[in-house]
Amino acid sequence: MKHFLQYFKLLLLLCLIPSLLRAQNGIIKGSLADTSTYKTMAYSAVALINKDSVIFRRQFTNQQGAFQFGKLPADTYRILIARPTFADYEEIIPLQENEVKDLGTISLISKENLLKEIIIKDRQAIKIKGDTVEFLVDSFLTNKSANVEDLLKKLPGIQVDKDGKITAQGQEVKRVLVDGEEFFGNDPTVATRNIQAQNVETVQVFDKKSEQTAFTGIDDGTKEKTINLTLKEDAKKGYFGKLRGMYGSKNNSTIPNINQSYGTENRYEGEAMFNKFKGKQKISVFSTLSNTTNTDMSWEDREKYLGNNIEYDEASGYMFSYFERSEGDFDGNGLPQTRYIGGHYNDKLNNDKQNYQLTATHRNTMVRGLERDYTKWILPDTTYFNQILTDNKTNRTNNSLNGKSEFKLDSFSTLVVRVNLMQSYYDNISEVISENFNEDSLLVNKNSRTNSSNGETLRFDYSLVLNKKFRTAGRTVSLKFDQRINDNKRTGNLFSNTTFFNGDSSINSEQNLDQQTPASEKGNGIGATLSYTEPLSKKYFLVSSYDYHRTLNKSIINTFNKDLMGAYTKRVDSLSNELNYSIGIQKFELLLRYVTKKTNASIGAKVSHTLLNQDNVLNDTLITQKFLNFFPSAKINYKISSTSSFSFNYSGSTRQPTLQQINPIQNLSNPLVVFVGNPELIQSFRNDVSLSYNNYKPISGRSIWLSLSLSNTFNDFTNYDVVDELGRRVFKSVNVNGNQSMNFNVYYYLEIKSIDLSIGNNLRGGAYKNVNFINTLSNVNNNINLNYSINFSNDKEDVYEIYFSPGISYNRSTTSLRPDQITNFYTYTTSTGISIYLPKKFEWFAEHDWNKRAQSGLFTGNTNHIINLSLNRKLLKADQLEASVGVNDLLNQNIGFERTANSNYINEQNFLVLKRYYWVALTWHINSNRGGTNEEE
Amino acid sequence: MKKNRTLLICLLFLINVKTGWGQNLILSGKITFEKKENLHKQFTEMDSWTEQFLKTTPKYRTDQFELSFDTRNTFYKLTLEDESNAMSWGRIAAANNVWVNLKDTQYVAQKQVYEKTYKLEDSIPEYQWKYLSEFREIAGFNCRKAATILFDSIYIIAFYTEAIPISGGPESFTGLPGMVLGVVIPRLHVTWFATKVEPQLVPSIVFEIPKMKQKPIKLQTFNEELYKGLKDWGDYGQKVIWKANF
Repeated sequence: MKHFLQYFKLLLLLCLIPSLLRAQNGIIKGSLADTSTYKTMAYSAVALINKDSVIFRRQFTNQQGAFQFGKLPADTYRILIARPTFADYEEIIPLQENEVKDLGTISLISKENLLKEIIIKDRQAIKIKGDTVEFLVDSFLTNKSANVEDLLKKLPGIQVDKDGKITAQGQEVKRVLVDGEEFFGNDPTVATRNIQAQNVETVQVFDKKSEQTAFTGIDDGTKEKTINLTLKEDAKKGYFGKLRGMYGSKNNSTIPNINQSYGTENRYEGEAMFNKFKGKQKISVFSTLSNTTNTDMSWEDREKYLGNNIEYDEASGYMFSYFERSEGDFDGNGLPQTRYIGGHYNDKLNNDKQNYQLTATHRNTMVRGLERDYTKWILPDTTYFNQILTDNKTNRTNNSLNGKSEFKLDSFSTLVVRVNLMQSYYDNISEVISENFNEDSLLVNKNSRTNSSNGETLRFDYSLVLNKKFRTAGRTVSLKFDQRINDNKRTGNLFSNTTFFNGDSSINSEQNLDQQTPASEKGNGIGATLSYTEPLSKKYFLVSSYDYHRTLNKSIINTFNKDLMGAYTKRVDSLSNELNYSIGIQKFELLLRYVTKKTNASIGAKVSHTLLNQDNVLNDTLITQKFLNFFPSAKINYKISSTSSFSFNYSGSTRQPTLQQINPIQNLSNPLVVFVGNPELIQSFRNDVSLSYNNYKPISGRSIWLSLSLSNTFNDFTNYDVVDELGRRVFKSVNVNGNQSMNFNVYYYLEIKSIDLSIGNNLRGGAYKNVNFINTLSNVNNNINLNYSINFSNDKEDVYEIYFSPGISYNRSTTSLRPDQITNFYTYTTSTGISIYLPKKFEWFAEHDWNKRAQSGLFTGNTNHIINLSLNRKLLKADQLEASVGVNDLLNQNIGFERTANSNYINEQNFLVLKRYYWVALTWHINSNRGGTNEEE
Repeated sequence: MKKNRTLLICLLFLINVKTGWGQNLILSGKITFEKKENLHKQFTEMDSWTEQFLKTTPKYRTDQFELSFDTRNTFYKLTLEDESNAMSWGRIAAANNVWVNLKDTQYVAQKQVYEKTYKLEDSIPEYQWKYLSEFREIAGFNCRKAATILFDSIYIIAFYTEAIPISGGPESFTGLPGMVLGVVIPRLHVTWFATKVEPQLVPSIVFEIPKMKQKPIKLQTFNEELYKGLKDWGDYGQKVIWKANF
């Protein structure tokens, strides 16, 4: 037995030896000779090609014209010997294990002596020029449900085998393009078996390089047989959309010290969006309804259904997107109820030379607000306190229509036409109780009033922009013409009662107002801008522009007191006005720009001249004012490397006092605040300097962003503020020097790759100095704020995402008139979020925010935890359906709160916000590409 | 002794050049390559941002490189950058210096990927070139076509000529029985094509790898490091790694 085993081992070894040897011991060798001249054949290219067509070995012959490939495994090789001016030598060499094959002396034949048949063979191999063969599909199509593969079988000269391999004019087709683009990689069957033949307009068969270059936009040098399918324009059609409904429990919103609940109805959100596309035409409709803080479309939906407005600023090289907020849009204060409906149309015609866009929207926003505003005023000799309670209801409807067309007139000129129409209705009513207390907490005055206003605004504007480039690089001309018309009407009602108290709480006097103020304002502005850029050299450019705009305005304000009959007929002349005014502004700008690959710098200035004519119709006075404003600027943007840059910006600007500051029209809505004009005001001049540096290191996962900005204003406008003995604040604007500010921001980001942790650190702060006057005394206010936050985040794709972000901020405010009154307070926050992707398409989301506002002086601190939770499940094959349940503000601790410390006051606001509600939601994504990738969200 | 050897090498070169030259072979010289990248095709998804961006971006970026070569060494470097600075953040390993020692089949490549400059020192990557019986003329030379697939999905097409019997090429595209005069990578929308070939009787190649601050690393280590840095970048990160390899 033992013998047998040894014998077996030996046998095994013997069996293995040949297989070990088999691998690498064959040799192919030979040498070359030129049959006619007998010159040496050194440096001839010899390629050994294996049966997979791979160039297995290569060699250049030595000085004697010899070559030798050693250590070859057994295979059937093809040897290819090539040398310019000689015909290729090819031979098939079956090589056995360990075989040494000597090809002897191979004679290369000079091309001049080539046999005729070889030339023909060569020509076939070099076949390059072949015209595109194009088949018009409709003339071959018999079966409506046929796919492209069925269609190809019918075309003359094209064969398709059972594996889907296509042969055209005797050659294999390796590529099938759809409208010149590769359709899902290199496998032609993906296209031929998935596209319906009836959607195809033509089938093009070609192997001409230039044709393909034209289609793909890149010269890939291939001369493969290629089939290009051009689709019928209307075949690129489809749709996608989204339907979402959310229903939530009742809410119970309150603010401190008011024993009433608001927003006690059930919560809801509804979204319906649909987009249909056909070729380059896109039509979408959308609507969102809600009484939660989700009052708008998400960014992604906006992009899909509306398209975002992206503009490019050539001077800075930045692109930016703007999202116009309209007046009356929900800003986070109060309980909203919104309705947003719109439609969007977009089409490109004539090879994209014409582009049309039209968007129509309707938005209604109703907000229920309740706000308590508490302010501490620091005066030279005393402090006093103001408390305002505002109960506010607003209802506003904005309808808008925006159109934009772009025309490419030729390769150098474009024309852009924009037309906008906006119409709004609003209706506001607010009930306000305002009380002022002195240092001893005694009531100084009390005002209760009801302000209501309703009105209508209409705005229409259009613009035409013609841009022209020239053959000289960098030379451009742009001409813009625009007009803007607005027509606003408003009626305001004020019912107010003000009681002034003596120091001992006894009533000093009382003032009652019951007024109606109808007002109207009409404006019509028209103007044009001409810009011209001239290249002075390759690096220097001169940018110039001239702009003239003229606006005619008519403003009528009438204030009526109630007469004995209860009608508002008694006009108050001091509070009524009828003005016709025109403003003509001319601007001239000259800029020298320097552009290289690393640097983009400019220096220059803008001068503007304003001519204002104001005709007061009622007292027949004409005021004419002229201002000259000056705006110097300098910019340097330096690219240190592709991932690091530095920039410096300077800008200066003059500012004119407003008419309201010189000759105010009294706003009577708050009788405790009075404005007084100051005709001696002169223009101010502000300097702004900013520096920034950034450095991004993607491989190391680190980035730094630093910025510093400084500003200083000469003859700045400030408040000259007198609090009279009745506690009324009388304001006037005066010029002052010394107003300045400083801001900085430091951001440092790093990734700890080994544990997949990202850490973002942010330190920012500001110091502000401003001067004002309180009861005739000059007062210097210094404010400092500092904020530090750190963010940790970690995620594992399709498993979880987590972030944790604590922060601290510090505020300090001092005022020179009362060095004893220093306000400083800290605010602490943390923000935590966890998303977990569970099995069976469940997803779990949790968010926690913690805020702690420390106590400051007489302000009590507060702490709250806001927790939002939700559980999601995706349903159906392609996750088209999504069901969710969740809770908003689980602990019912959300508060609307804001604290500001500035100059000589500290202010704290409490306002209504949504608190706890439980909710369920269902989202359905629809898509005409059934089973395709889920494009939504 | 050393002097004598240099002289001998020079003489040998002269003989080589002479024997080759007489028969339409080029054994040393300079090749000018034009690298052309389609910037617009770098975007797979079209949204409002991309659309606006493309309006202000030229369609192609063209850089000029020079490959100097003799029978022992090749040296590849950037000679003229495109005037435009568009999409400079997308320039990955776009100004490489590549030294190839054909005898030892070793190469050194200096590449910049974002903030880091790498010195790759490794044996020349052996690509599995498939011979395709097709021809194309580039810069006056009849070239043969070969193709290979890298990273399981990147299709690379190369055109080489036996008229320059040197297994060299732009970047690290080597290993063919002749000089590579054209490379196409359709997936990355980039091409390299020779525009000019200047033969030199006396080789003027300065094959001296300058001292670099960077520590030499192997190609595999280089790819591992890139992957570690860019693994959260998804498809884009993948593309960056591919670009860094060529």
